Amino acid sequence: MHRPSRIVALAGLSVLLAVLGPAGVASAASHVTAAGSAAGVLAQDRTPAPGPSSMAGMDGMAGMSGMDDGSMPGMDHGSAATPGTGAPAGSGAGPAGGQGGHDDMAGMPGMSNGHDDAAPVSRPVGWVVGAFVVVNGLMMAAAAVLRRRRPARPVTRRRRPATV
Amino acid sequence: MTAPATDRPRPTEGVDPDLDPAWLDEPAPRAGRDLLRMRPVRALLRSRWYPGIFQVPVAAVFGLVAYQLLAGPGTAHRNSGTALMWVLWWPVLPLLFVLAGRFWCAVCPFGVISDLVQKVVGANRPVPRWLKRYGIWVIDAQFLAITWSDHVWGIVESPWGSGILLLLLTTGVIASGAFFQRRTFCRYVCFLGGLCSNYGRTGMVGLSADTSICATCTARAACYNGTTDADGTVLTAACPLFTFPRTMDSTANCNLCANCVKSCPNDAIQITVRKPTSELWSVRTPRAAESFLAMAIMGIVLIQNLTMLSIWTDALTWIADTTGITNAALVFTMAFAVAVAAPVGLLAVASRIAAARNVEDTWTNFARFGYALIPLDVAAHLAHNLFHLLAEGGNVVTTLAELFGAHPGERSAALVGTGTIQVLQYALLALGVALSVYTARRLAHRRYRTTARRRGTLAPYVVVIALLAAVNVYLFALPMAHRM
Repeated sequence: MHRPSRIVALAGLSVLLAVLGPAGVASAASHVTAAGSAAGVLAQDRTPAPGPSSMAGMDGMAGMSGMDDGSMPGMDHGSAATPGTGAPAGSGAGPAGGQGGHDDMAGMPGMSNGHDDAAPVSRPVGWVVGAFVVVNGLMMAAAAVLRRRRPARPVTRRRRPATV
Repeated sequence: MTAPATDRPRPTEGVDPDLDPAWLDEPAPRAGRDLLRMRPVRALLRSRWYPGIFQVPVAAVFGLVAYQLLAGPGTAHRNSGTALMWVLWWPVLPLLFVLAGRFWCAVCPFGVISDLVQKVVGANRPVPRWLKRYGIWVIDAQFLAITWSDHVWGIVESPWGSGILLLLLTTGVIASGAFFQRRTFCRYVCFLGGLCSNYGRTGMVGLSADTSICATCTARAACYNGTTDADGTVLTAACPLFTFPRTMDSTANCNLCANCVKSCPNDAIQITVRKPTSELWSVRTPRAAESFLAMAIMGIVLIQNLTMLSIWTDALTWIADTTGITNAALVFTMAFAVAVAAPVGLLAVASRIAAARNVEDTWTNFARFGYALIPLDVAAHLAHNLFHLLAEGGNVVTTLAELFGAHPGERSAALVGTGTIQVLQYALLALGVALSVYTARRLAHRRYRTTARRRGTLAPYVVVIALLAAVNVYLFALPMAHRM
């Protein structure tokens, strides 16, 4: 590949990584303490209650003691009206009519739109993006080394063995 | 329904008519109008700016989405990344597959990242043999895993979770671009690519080569390998999805990137308009993995619908009570497995019944007639997504307005009324049922010459189509909760 196109490609890649990593690798260290397991991080972010199609908020998935008595966040919405496509015509609020249940759900446990006032949760953006950049950087470095040491050759067609 | 083609060879004396090779070797259906004969289309596809002119804006939006998901508002209904990704892009995507096949793959930002990485550091190693062989199963497993993790960890409802998913996928793309040839990830690993290739078969646009011209070609597969000048500088890139137009019998692995259109010295490439679903009944080598994917997607759509309904809670409670299992993830996994396995099991049972009435085994029937379920699959998926698009589409406008500093205030997320959405959903399902039955019929007529075998084969699949349609109709009639 000619040098200019390589430079352009490298620049493009840098821009992309810069977009993906607003906090940058430099800030990664400050977020290390906020990092948790993948599930923990996701569950932490989804405050206060998960959506109706999710189980992330079910007591950290450690158990389901709340299932029987319906006290589990995110799972007990079934008993409430869930206006949607099949909602009664009279439930309509807003211009579309019949879809207005969305707004009426604010604050209802189990509905993902009911957490307007949730306290902001610190997310380990820098740490995750830093890890992303490091992992992918290492992979690209390994590939570059591989490319220099053993340039790819065109695949030669194997001759099929003669059959009697 | 139109009658199947009748210009088939006459039976050979003394041979079971359904085992007669002359009957099995039916030519592909006739192609429709070649779009490349239209000057604007030809100019666009031959232009060096194609598909870049689409890639750039899509990549820009991808950057915005990624930034918003990772660094934007923490709640889904305030995050424009979530709205753009799950309320606009994801619901519209299947529609794009149906209309334009795998065109999305040509403009997909992941593909661009892969190409970019490959240019800079690509080791260009051949695709591992196991991946070539089992790639479609990897796609199947990945699709199920992502859907499962969405429900267990709430990826869709969590901008942060969606951001992590994007980063993980990007890592896979970069690994593939760094080590392997062309777009290995897109062809053999990407779950969207698998979805795309399955749904794209129902599409109305297909690329193919005029084999009579190819037979005289001396360009050493320029359409497959690309072209270079005397210095070795690449003039036209190779086919990114490892498809050789001369031998391709399916558009499942063609993303309409037009590299072959540019590199073919004989103008043998055609992009034709065809009957919707026509590719489904003309596949020469049906693959069970693709049929399995179609059925798994049907199961995924069912479970996506179910989890938005109140009966889902009852189902989980019932499973927990019955089994005594208290782990939420495990209970969900059991329900998930049943929902995904149900369509696969139904198809397997139908194939077993059909196998008893025709000359092929259950596995072959499963592979062949699984394609007949794809139209219903697409229809159910579109109908499900239509709810998100039309009932939550207002969030796209609201969140984007907030992103750019406007204060749109509280407003309904619904774009149209409930009745309209339901009518559209049922219309889509009806269309899907009609096309699925039609496809099954064409498959049966194409494969079997004797009327008894045709009917005996067709009947169980029609029952499966009717059953799955009925389940979908029932689910769409129930009140649904919103995603964000």
